[in-house]
Amino acid sequence: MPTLVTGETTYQLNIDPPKNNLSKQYLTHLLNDESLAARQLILEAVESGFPIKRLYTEVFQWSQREVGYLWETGQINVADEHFITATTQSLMAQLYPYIRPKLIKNKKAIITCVPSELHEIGARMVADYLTMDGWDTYFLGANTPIDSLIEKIQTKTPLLLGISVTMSHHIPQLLNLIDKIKENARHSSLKIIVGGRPFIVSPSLCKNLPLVDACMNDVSSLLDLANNLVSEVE
Amino acid sequence: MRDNSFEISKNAIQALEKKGDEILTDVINQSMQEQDEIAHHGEGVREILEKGMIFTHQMLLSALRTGQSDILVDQANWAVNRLPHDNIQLPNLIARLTRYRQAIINQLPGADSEQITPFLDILITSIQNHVRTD
Repeated sequence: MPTLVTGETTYQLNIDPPKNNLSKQYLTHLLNDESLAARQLILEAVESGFPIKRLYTEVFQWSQREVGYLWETGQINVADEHFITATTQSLMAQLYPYIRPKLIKNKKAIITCVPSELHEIGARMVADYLTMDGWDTYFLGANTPIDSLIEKIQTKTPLLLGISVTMSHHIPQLLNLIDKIKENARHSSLKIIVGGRPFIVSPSLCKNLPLVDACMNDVSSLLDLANNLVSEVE
Repeated sequence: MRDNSFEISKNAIQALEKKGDEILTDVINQSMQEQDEIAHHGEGVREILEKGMIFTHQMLLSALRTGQSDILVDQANWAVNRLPHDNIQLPNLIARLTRYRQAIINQLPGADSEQITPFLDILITSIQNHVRTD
């Protein structure tokens, strides 16, 4: 089992860090409560040309999954988990000016979390990834009420709706949400992608979601999926 | 690709949804009688039991509505890792899940409960396997 040593503490990790100089250092700073050092590390890396997409997948996605595992196994507490997640979220916001798509696509997407879902960082990564790829993206965040989401779909008429589910016990809310969208707001060209932990642990889950066009278990597969599903509007 | 899909009727799921509150109340009331299991939780014990059983019930409905047992195996792994840190011992968890299984059998028609209990058996067995190997 991989480990991460900070001072006198040895953490048991779930998955080895990606092979770069950043991921492990970033998590080490955060586990030491060194928010400023973590920020500086990332901002210097970006200034030096480290690609933002790799930063999202190799540093943020990996470290957030490890943070979940560290809490699950009692190695950190809820406050630690919230501190690390908040630092990563604010860094992602800080990096927004560096997101410069090479071309603007005529594709609109709404990204949201299923009702009751409070874990929004995965959805935020998806929204930023699409923005980097030139999509016109609306990120609605955690725990979006169904009625307001439907209203947003009706007014913005996106080509893609991305729905994030982190906790498997929110799947009934996902199914209810998709049914409501189908009844009230699904125009013919709207495609639906869902993603999150349930789709990592259950690869065959997607085939039992007939109204969903694609399922995603990693943000790195997003752009191929989304661009294959959605043609650009002339 | 591994496929752990099960066929389950809408009737069975609806029956469980309809009877959910009664089933959970039954399990919580039974568990409140087991002093050996609950004494260490102190005054907040009923709330702890309610939260745990509501969560379990929602997990079961997620698995039933998608016909997928993998998410229950994942949940079992999570429970084994996490719940001892929340002062919930795995033998006590297994006892509650077993009561939940029996309450479903008691309160739903046989044709419905027979479709549901295989999912719970996967959850219970997964946790039991961890307990045996510890």
